[in-house]
Amino acid sequence: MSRPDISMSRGEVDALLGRCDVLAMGTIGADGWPTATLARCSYHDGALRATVDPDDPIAGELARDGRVCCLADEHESYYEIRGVIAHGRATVHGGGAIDDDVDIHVDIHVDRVTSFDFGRLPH
Amino acid sequence: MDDGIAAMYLFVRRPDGSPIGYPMTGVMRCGSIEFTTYRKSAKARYLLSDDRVCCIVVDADDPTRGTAVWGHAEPTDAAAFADRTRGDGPIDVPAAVRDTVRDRLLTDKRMVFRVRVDASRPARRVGAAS
Repeated sequence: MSRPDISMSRGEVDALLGRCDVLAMGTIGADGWPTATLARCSYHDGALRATVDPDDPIAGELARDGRVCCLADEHESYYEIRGVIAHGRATVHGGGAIDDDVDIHVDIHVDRVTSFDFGRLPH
Repeated sequence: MDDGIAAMYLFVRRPDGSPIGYPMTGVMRCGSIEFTTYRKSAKARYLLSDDRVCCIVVDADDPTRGTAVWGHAEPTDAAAFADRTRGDGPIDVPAAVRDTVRDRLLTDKRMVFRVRVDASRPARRVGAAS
């Protein structure tokens, strides 16, 4: 028996990203280990931006290798679990050079998205 | 990390060297994290190819706060895991779903990984919106 398609439409993905203000962002470090953080985020007109603390080591890793995976999800109840897994490339802006307290902004060019909505599961 | 069930984000390395992450429910136990996935899933394949993981364990009382942990994931006993998933978690999972997961564990369609935590970064909260 094939598994049901529980992916969301493009519009639903955009809507979830638009109402999400925190995401999990991960990359691969220079040592080959995955590394990740929670980051404040915004999404407007298809542009995904994350903001990380200036002392968060993920900024340096993303500046070195911009391949990034971002997770945004929500789960008020089991059948309201929805999420987006966005693969893309990160461009790191700001922080460090002028002021150690300045947040670092990460623009994410999304190449590919997978999504899920447990409300589409048979129940 | 206290023992119990928690929401987390699991990040692994794909064979092409790129990252991929998954929202998960993890069972914290004695300093390790256990989770289940389908044996045929891409996630299982990636973990059996490269066992290095980073998990962000989300604070139950504050979803903007998470603890990052790193460790090696290894397959572990599925039957024992099925008994550990009873209890309060971040989401109230319907009984029928729990029963299905348990059946898939006992029939070997699902497998369980245990992450022995080698390193961690203290919990941090994301900054306020600008």
